Amino acid sequence: MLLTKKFWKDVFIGTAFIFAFMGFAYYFLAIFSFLDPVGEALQDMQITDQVFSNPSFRDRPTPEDRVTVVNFGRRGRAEIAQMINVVNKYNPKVIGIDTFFSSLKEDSLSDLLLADALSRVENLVLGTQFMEPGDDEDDPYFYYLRRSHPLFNDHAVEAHVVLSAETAGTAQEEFKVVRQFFTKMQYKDTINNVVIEQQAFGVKLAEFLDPDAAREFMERTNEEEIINYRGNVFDINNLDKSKFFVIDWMDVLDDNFDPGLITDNVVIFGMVGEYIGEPYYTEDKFFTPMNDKYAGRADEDMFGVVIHANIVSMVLNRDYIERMSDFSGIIVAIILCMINVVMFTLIYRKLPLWYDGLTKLIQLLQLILILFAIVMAFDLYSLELELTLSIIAIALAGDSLEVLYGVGYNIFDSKKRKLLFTTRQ
Amino acid sequence: MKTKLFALAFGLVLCSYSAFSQDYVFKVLANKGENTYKTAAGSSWEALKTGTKLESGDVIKTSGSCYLALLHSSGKPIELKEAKEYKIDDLSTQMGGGESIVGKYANYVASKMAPEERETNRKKYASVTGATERGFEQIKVFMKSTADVYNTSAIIRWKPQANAENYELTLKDMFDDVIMVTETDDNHFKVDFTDDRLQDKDLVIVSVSVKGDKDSNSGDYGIQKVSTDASSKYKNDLDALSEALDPSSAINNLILAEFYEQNNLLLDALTSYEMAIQKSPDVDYFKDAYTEFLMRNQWSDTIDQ
Repeated sequence: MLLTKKFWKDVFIGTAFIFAFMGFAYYFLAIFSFLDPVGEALQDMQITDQVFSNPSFRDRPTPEDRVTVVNFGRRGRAEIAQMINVVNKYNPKVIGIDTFFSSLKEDSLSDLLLADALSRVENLVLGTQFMEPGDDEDDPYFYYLRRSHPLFNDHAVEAHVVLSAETAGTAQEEFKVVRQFFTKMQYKDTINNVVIEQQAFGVKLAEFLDPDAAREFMERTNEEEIINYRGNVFDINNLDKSKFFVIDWMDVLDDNFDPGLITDNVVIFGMVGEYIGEPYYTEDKFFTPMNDKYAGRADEDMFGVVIHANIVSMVLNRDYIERMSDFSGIIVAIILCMINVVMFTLIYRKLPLWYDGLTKLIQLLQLILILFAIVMAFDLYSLELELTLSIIAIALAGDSLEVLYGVGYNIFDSKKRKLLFTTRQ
Repeated sequence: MKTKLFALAFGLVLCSYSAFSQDYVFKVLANKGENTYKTAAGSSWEALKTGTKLESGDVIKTSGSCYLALLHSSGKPIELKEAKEYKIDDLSTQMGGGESIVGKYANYVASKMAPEERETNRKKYASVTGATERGFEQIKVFMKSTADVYNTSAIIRWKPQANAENYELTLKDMFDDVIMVTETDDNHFKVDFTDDRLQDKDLVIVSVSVKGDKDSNSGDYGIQKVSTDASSKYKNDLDALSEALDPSSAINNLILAEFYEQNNLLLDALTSYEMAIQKSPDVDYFKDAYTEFLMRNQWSDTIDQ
């Protein structure tokens, strides 16, 4: 009988061996880079991006009517002030500004015009940027806070515009795909020993329109949240993903837009190019999972201000993405690994000639099934399954067991050890 | 009568294309050039702007070298590059495929009211012998012996009895303890789960008898509140429907009835039909739809109001 006490002992040892091998490889061989199948170009690819980028997944999102983006292009402060005045007369619920007016200009008149326009806005949220994280990984604080000059933020509420772990304190060209954002961040003023905590820009904006939705979102108490992307602003080359309305700066200055886009809505001022549709402007533009190029992305696809608009929409619609915990991921990996060890041990003992072929086939089928499950769980249940460890464990199970049974066990058997050094004629 | 029927049928079909949660058919996403529009009410030509809402019956006119991008309420975009007049209803039809949840159930209603479907329903009902699972009780209540209910109230209706002036209803809990006894001179009664006596009961057993004639008892019918777990499976769809529907409209109660029937919440469906008729008592279409529902479930071929 194969399923004896010894058999289960072997299963336990086999599972432990695979995990020990993974741990060893992680720390000493940097083996995990093998998950990167074809090099640097695919470094930042996630299979769940398919759900956002491939129209055959997800129901087509409807337009987001409660959030409007205003493109201020490269206009100066005086013209931005004029735009704010035009927008403000249609009574938006809140205006958010996704930029920093860090210092005063020599042209003090434009500063005064801007400060005056901002002071007339009833609900104003200005963006800030938390930079310089602490050296210690466990240090929750950032030590530099980029914010607007007090002349401008006197009437404003501040909220951070940091989009993901990569964006905190790194240059834009180093950013990868923006998939998540910090729900809140903390800045530590070491001179005055003061800690300032701010919510994410999108969450703060949503709070003015629907305080219950924002509270419910914050009660999830996640440090980072995955952005459930709804769509982009108008893009003539990718009309199908256009879900947010955007007004260009010249239309704002000419008052050439429907006031319904503004009244009682969240309005976010930000950069969407020199003009809407300008193809070459890439400042404050990012890669997102909605990018048509699933792997090897070449062109950034979404401006930062639109990513914030997506966050607002997600909070207002209570349309979150859940994430399987790391702990659950480990438990699932152990269970799957153990099942594989049972199967492979049986094959090793009963069908040794078939071992290589059968185990590879079983591994392949499982990996396909797991990838399918990851995509479907994300698509149907907005759940991100954390099965990386499971994939690695399954991928290593066949060969690792062969090493364990073929080398590990034999090396402790004096007869078999002798065979290693015996030359056969 | 025929005009009303036509108007309602048309309304239902139109619903399937236009009744999204947004209060427009299209909204201008991007606009370049001298593009104008005219409303269904016959306004003069006005300039289109980013964000202009376009509704059913409106017409737009694009000029030479124009560009107009419209976003349908379903989320589907459309580009107009040719200088000409476009009817919003035509463009909306072109969108196809973007059927809303309201449209889905409105289409079910429309298809069930098609003459051939009604004929089939009638034949099916006629083939029923009358001996139902409940045996020989004198009063036939229009529900199954147990029914799940999603809403906080449900109307039960029964076949009126000859010479009956008053009916006595007995409501009991799962332990057969009487919760309340009430009387009505109608052949229907609203069970209100927000009533203090009922709000903590997950199951209520109802029986109807002619007052003063205990032998005429209907037997017991169980009404069970849908569990929280089970109700969550209906919540998304019902939220989407409530967002798009005006609860005060009779036709929307018809669409809700269809949703409930599809989900086997027959008592909620019956209640929605009752509400539709209450709101528009003069429209025969609702009574016909209700009668078809009663026949489909083999309870009655008449409402017997």
